[in-house]
Amino acid sequence: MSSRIELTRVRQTFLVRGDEDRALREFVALDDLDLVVEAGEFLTIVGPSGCGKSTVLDLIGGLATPTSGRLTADGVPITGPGLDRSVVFQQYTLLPWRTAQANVELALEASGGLTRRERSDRAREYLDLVGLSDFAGRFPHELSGGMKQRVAIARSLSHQPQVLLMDEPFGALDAQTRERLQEELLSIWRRTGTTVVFITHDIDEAVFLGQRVAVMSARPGRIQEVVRIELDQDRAGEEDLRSSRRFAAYRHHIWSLLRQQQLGAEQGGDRDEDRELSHV
Amino acid sequence: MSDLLTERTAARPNHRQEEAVRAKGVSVRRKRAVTLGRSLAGLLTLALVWETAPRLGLVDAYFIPPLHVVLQTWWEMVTSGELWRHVSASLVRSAVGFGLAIVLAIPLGAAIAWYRPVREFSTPVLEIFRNTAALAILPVFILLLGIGETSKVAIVLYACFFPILLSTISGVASVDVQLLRTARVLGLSPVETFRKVVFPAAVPTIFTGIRISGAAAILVLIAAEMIGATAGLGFLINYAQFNFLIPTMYAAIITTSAIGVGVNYGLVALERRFSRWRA
Ligand SMILES: Nc1ncnc2c1ncn2[C@@H]1O[C@H](COP(=O)(O)OP(=O)(O)O)[C@@H](O)[C@H]1O
Ligand SMILES: [Mg+2]
Repeated sequence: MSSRIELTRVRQTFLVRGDEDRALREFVALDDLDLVVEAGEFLTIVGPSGCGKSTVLDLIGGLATPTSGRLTADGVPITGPGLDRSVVFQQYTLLPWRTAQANVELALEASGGLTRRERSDRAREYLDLVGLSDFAGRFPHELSGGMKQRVAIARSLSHQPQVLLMDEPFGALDAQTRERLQEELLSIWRRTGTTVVFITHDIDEAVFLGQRVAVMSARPGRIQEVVRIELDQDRAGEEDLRSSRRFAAYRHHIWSLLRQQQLGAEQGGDRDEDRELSHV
Repeated sequence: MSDLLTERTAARPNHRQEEAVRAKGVSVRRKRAVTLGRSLAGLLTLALVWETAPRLGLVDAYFIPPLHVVLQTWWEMVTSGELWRHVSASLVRSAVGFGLAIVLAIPLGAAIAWYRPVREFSTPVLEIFRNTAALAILPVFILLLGIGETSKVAIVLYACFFPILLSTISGVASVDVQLLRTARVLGLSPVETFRKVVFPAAVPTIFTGIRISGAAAILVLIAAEMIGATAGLGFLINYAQFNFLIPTMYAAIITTSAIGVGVNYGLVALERRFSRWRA
């Protein structure tokens, strides 16, 4: 139920048009990025906006091909999307004309091999897993943001992927809903044993969820450091894990890493700032 | 932590929400009744003006007879079966042309939109055709197809075709890319992606085109029937006017309006039905 993902010297460049001249230029989004996600691991990737987090996820998901470098899932090169890897995006991606139940079934229709009845049962099972059994017949516009993301999670898990890829899935939710979904996600992860790669720009979220946190740096995108997190998650229900001293220490460490980056970028990037000011 | 999973939000709205909904329901119903009342009053006013203006000599009663005279003639035409002969001729022509347009334009539009080069190639040509009034082309159709049924069906087809085609193209081309990415991630084949994601997403937009075409179908046909036909509402209106059968002419005009209103309402209702999820 889980795969090991390996990225070796992955480089991704895009052709972008310059601001001043309209010439096409090569923009290096990821440069020589190395990362290993162990089977069954919960890895979070944190980094400033625009550092290339989504690009990494698109590559693992097979939605894009790297300019160079190697990506494998259990040793097999990743060449395109596959049902062994499932993605939950930040934007709500439910089909608005299908009910919650039918949206989950969509994933099962594509994977095939199930009768109508089995699909329906399986969809119910996974809606139950995310606590939405009572909402199976609702359309997306009748669900809250948090519920929609839960349906998306149920849909992604329903075809039992080896790897669950999540791109800031809780980014658009309010703080309370987000914390609750984080706890639910951990509980689901423990029960299913799926490998999870979870992207966020929120340090607290990264520390709370991850067994390891990969801190990314921008321009070009690289993994700056991977921090192993050892928190007593089992007692999370009884005490506020997020205000414990260990949690604070991890948060501070990652914050400092990101801060250093930012200072470095500002010193090197004065020219950028001047240009921005001259536009005003 | 599992109790967090079992803890569920209530499916029912709370009391205050329910009350609010109920209160709103009442006011909505009353508002609807008021709207309906005003609409009827509007219609009644029109009828009253039509009835009294000729009687008071404000207009020439010969050219605009009082409403009751028109309605009497209308009823005679209904009972004699004469009206139905013309109505059915018109309805068959517009239905065939309209139906053909739907059957041809939707698949073609979908194909054009799906293949970007084809779309870019054909858009300017389609824009030219769309902006060429159907009636301007009528002489061409008569030259090519004669004045029989074929040229009339063809002109309706032409008028209906482009709104449906262009709305299909825009509906299919503007499908949310995020949904397409999801389809890829879920492993949907291109055919499945089209059938389950792209087409349903485009249906409301396509329906806008269909509704526009429904109105155009009748409009264009009436005009075409005035030029060369031996039956149909357009022919009847024209024929009655030539022969000074003034009440007959108005009866035919009223019938045309009623059909137009009916078709439009029907299509709007269908459009709502298919776009419900957009709410
Ligand atoms: N398809 C693309 N074409 C051009 N530039 C892109 C493309 N996708 C991403 N980028 C650029 O690559 C960088 C990283 O993007 P992204 O991975 O979305 O960042 P993040 O998810 O960390 O916010 C950004 O500067 C973005 O503008
Ligand atoms: Mg992103």
